[in-house]
Amino acid sequence: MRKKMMAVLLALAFVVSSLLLMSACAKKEMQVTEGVQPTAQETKAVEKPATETTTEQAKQVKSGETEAYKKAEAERLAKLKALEKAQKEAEAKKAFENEKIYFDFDKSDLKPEAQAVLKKKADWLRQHPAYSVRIEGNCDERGTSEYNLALGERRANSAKKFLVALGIAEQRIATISYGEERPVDPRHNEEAWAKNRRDEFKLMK
Amino acid sequence: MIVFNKWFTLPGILLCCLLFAPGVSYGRIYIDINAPSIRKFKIAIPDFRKLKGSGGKCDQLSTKLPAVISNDLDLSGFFSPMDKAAFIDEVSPLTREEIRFKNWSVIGAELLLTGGYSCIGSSVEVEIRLFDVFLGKQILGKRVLGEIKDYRFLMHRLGNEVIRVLTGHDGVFLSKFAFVSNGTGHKEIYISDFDGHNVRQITHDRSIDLLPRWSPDGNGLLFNSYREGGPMLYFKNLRNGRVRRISGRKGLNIGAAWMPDGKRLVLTLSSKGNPDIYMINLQGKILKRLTHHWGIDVSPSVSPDGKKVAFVSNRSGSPQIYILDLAKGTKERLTFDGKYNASPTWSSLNRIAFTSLNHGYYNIVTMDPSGGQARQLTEDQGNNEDPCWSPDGHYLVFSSNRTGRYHLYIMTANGQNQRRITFLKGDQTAPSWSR
Repeated sequence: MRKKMMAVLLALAFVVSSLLLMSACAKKEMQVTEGVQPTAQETKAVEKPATETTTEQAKQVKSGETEAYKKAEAERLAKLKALEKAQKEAEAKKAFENEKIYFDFDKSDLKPEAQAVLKKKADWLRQHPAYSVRIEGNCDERGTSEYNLALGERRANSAKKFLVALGIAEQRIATISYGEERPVDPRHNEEAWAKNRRDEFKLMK
Repeated sequence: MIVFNKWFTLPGILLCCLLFAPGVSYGRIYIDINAPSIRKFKIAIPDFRKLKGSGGKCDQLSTKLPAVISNDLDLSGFFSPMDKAAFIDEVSPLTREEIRFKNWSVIGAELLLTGGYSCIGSSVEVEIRLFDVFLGKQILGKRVLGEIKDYRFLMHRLGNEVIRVLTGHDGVFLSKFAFVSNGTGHKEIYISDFDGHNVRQITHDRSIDLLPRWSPDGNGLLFNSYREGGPMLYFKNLRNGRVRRISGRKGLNIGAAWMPDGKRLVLTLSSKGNPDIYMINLQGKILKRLTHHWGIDVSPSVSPDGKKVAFVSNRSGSPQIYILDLAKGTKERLTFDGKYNASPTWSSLNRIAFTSLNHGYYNIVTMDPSGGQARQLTEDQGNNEDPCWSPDGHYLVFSSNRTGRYHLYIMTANGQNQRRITFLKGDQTAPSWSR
């Protein structure tokens, strides 16, 4: 009987001591993994201030996915989007302003081509209610400067009346005449004169 | 500055007094200023003699002084100044005693102008004598005193005396031009002497400045400017330099012409929707609307008695000149020839000049207000535009691009003696002639 009890005690002692040993080892392992984490955070701290990241480091960063990074990305995308929107608007504005209408010598009536262009402009103005337009009337160099100032005025008013008839509010349209004072083509031939007999349209917000 | 007369011989005193008595013609009528065609007098103007003074500046006056008066007399259209190379005498004579009239008549001179001068400090005293070569007689003796730096002004005064003694009328040599030039890259207003010298830039708006018009008293200029956005009307006082806006209405405020009383203006406004002619006061207040037609009405010019206004209208389909009777309100068409008649200017002698498109060129035409006696004064040498009469009605200044760019020219009322006045960079247009 005494021999059996001794064997059981011995076994117990063995188990207990091995248990103790194992827990000690486990503790050691935990300490090791905790030691790994700070190094990952360190690499991330090092990479963050630099704007260029290699793809490997980027992958490491991506895999991090902290709040600060998400915020910066969102800002960048928003900025790009705003720039694109502004560029599109500038292009549309430029297209609007680049399209002029032309007149025959000593005339201020709107030709069919001019009316078509004005219809397009009216559509655009309807879609962009924040804008108003200034119509600039111009003439070719022939004739007196006084008569041409008046003729330019009539050309600007002609286009204005048409836009108003198409439903654009009168307060959104200003007019000015430059007579023969602002030619786009300074030459003294029919080709230049035809280009100068025009209304120009400038957008304002 | 002091101006006084000094006659040198007894016959001279008598002669000159008689010549200056109004309404009395003594012997020769030298120049009939109203004749349809003017024959030019050959005039010899030798270098002036230095009577007193030293230094290069003083010496130079011996050629500088006669150059001014010789140029003036040439511009007047009554004289042909002769080439000095033809003169026989080596030493310039001054008084009648020194003159061998044979030496002058043999080379064809009809008139002889001699001069002497004395430099005293910064001042100069200049004397001139005018001789009728064929009669061997002095017809004029005058002396002026002033600053050397004002020598051009002094010679213009003496030139006017020569004109007065020969024509019985005042000379124009002290008058001034206002005009537009774009030499700086912008259209600005300038003024110059009658002979194109002493050019001064009057505006510095770096915008578009147009249509200068001298006030009747010569103290200032009306002009149009885009300096505040659209074509508005301003007045610049040349005595104190101040600029005042007269009319800044929406649209056009252009081409203001003076009424003879110097207190009212006629111009084109379009604030009511259409370019029409209005009368306003110098505060810009509308006194009366003068045209009511749906067409274009611009370019008013007032008759010397202030009762009528010539203007341009396209009411018949193309720009033509009409005459408005201010009392009756009636408008009568003046021009029927050609497809483009514009820029009317009404002279003190009751004649209307304008520019007319013919065979593709703009030419200056003059006409009576009744439409009669039409004369074309320029002959298709480039474009000839913007005519303006001299205040005495004997000359026109206009803008012509006959040499490529636009420059100012003058001519007599019948189109003779066309002479270029401005030699500036760029184009000179829209001249206005002061007293």
